[in-house]
Amino acid sequence: MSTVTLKDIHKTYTETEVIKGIDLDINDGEFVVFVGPSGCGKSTLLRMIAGLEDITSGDLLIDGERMNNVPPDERGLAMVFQTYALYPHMTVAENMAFSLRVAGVPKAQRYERAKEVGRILQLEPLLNRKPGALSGGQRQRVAIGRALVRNPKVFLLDEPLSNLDATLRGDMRLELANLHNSLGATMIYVTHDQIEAMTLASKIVVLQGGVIEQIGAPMELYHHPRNRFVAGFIGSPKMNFLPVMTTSVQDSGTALRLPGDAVVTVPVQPKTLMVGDRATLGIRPESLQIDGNNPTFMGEVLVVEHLGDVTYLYVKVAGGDTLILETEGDRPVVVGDRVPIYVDGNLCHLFDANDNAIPKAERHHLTLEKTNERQPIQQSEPQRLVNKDRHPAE
Amino acid sequence: MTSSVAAQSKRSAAKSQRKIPTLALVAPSVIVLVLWMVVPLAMAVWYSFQRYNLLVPDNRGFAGLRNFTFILTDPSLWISIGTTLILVVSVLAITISLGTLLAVLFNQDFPGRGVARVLAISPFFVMPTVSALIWKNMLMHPANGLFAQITQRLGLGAIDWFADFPLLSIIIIVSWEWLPFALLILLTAIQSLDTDQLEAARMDGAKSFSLFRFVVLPHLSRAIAVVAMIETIFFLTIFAEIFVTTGGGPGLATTNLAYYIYLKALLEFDVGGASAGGLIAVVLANLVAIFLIRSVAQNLDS
Amino acid sequence: MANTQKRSSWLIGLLAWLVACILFFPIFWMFITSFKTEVAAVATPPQLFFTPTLENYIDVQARADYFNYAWNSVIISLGATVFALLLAIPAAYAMAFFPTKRTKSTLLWMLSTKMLPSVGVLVPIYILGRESGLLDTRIGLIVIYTLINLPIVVWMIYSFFKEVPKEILEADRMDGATTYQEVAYVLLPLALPGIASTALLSVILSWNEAFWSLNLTTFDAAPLTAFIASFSSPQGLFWAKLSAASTLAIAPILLFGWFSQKQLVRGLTFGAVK
Repeated sequence: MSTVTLKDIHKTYTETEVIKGIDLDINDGEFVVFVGPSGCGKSTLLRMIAGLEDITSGDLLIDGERMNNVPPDERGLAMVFQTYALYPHMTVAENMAFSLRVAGVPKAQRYERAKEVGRILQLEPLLNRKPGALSGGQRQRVAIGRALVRNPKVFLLDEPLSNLDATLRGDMRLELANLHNSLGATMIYVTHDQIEAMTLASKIVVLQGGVIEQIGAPMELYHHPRNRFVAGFIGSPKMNFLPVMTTSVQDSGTALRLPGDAVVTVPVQPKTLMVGDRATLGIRPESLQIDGNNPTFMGEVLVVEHLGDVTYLYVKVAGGDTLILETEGDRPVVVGDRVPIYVDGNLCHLFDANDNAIPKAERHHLTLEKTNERQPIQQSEPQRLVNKDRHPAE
Repeated sequence: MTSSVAAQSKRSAAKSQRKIPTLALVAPSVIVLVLWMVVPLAMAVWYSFQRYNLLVPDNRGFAGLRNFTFILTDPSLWISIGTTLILVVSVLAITISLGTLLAVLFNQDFPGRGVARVLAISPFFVMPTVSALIWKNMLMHPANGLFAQITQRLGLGAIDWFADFPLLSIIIIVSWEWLPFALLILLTAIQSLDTDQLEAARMDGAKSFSLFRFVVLPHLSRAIAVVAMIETIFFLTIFAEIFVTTGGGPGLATTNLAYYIYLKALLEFDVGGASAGGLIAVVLANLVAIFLIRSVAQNLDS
Repeated sequence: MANTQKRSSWLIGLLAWLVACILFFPIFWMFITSFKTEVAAVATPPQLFFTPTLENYIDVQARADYFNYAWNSVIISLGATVFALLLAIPAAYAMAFFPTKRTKSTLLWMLSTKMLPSVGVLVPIYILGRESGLLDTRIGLIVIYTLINLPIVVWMIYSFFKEVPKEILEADRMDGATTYQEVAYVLLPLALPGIASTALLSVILSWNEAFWSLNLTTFDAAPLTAFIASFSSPQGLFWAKLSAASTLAIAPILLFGWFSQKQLVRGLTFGAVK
């Protein structure tokens, strides 16, 4: 069992409080991602769990035992650093075996273990090389291998992919996901990239300014963000926000006037807004549609971004706001075109004057209880990380 | 949790860092240096108020300010201070101006650059006594030295360097020794100049001299300051070169403050007077040191 | 355009080589004089081409006292370097990895002790040396050189330690290394090149030091600096031999300096120039 519990954790650096009361439960086998903008405290939180930073107040429990004063190497954790932090003067094998060496494990055994881990991570041909002779992706795997050797209860990963280029990042993301599936280990992962969070996590913790904004499965955060910050942070490109005024409140939905006087009805729970209240409407670029039959308003195209599979349009609408809109990749739009935009109320989010989300009338089907756990990726052939068919003679 | 937050943080403060006895590790170096500073200086202060001559050790006693008044009214002291200043300023000027120009020169790409550079910095690594002897006997000697041989063949007669131009000779020798130092440091500093900056300036139309004046020189200003300070610290106490060549002469022509004190101490055995003189030297050096430390302190922050 | 560039690069090369040769010339002249016979050494006009002989070097090697002085230089330089390292490495380690509020001022203060002009304390040190019987002893000079080099040695090692990436030390902490294991298996191997160049600089500064060595030694402990100085007015017939002795005296340091220029810059300027 590898559970981690944080109870009212605070951290103060001299005069400034950077972590302002974090409560969090991490269950056995979860892949938890701490995500947030720079300075939100996600790395600090991870380092406190690791034992590299002190906890000013609050309790850190690992498997039910209080670990605040336990030194880092005795907590049953292993960490993969952002810069990999490999020992430049040691070979790959020596790097991975180092923790065993300092624990007094005899040479033969620790190299056996290093080789075994090297096999899992496809590092075998590199075992005798030094980090300086490796590529970024290879170094990354060595860093993971070093953690793996220790058979930790919990893996801590501090922005491990941020130093890799885009293509490599995609590959490594898949490797990490597979690793998690095959090991079933608890992983705590820090990133500023919400795509990594969405694809890897079974549970995302969104942080800002030392406080948790929301905890939940990726779909939960995507479909039911608790506040405007989370709504704007999750999803790329960013959600569009428009200032609106409440015109009527009914059980079937609340009607709001958009800038430019169009009206949209959003199916939210009726108790929260009153007629005349100001609010913020949120709609994702992928939820906006170009529809000549039923336009909510017209927009003038300012910028066109053709990505091939999709096209992003930056359109100026009545009221002066600029919206980002996603449309098909082969739609022939040019700068200056006027496009009719349909805003589907069912796909909108509403936020009150305090930027808190107004609960929707119904929950999205992907966020219902049953599907909270991340399902493993279904592939045509399951990825083998430990090849049991390998010939022993090799 | 609120009650013992402070105690909590103190107890857990030790945990995220390793525990090592920092004081015990640093103390030996500090103690040793403190002794090195305090003991001799204290003794010098004590002696400077004493009447004490090693040749007549029994005749000791409190001398009040007499050593200081005697020294401060001794024209030799002022001559020696003046000589010191001339020495320091001349060698500084020569090494820094030439050093800067040579640094720019050696920064260019030319065949055999590495070897040429190695040759150019060699004089700095030669021990001062050997340097002095090379110059005194092989080059400047009026009878057998190379310079004399050359000028005589040209029909110009020979210059007796150390008799006719003693201070200039010393300046030449010390400049030869330290120009490589300035060159080495300034060359390293130039090489740290972003080529991007130079290229941007060139795109803006700057030609060689403007490039030098508006891009290179400002970048070098800090290194030049460091070189100047360090050289000054060393030049205030030039000794070996004088010791080996002129012995302070002819007369007092090449007696700087260091040599003056040396004469008082180990030739006249006037402990009191030499200590007083030494303190004056310390004060002078401290003034320079303050500036150097400030500039290095700025570097510590970066 | 290309043509004028090529020509000016030619000119620059010529100028630079000219300067290099002028600067190096006195050393060169001494070097070739060491291979001349004494007669040839003082011949007029000065000979550039001659039949070289090794007799001077043989003579110098045969002199028992030359060996004594050279050995003194070696012992004193190495001894002072070893002691300085023994004191400096722990101090630099503590200050680099466990800095306190006082660390910065301690470092600066150490630096300031280097500013003390040696001549200011000539008298007390001389008297102390006399009273303690350490005048004209190697250990006396070793103590003094350790003290005057200590600030630079501490500074250099401190700056090399600070270059070890913090995350590597955190990684070995996570791996479970004790302080001793971290220093032995991770820190020292990584800092070794830096420590080596520091040691080199200390050796160079000690070998060439020419104030205390001239004033505190006479025969027993005199290093090469003092030995050479004693020939400040040789008769003409000694020049070739003196050149040989001098060449031997400066050769090792010259070579050290040639091979470690880059590293030395840092130490020579207290880290202000890198």
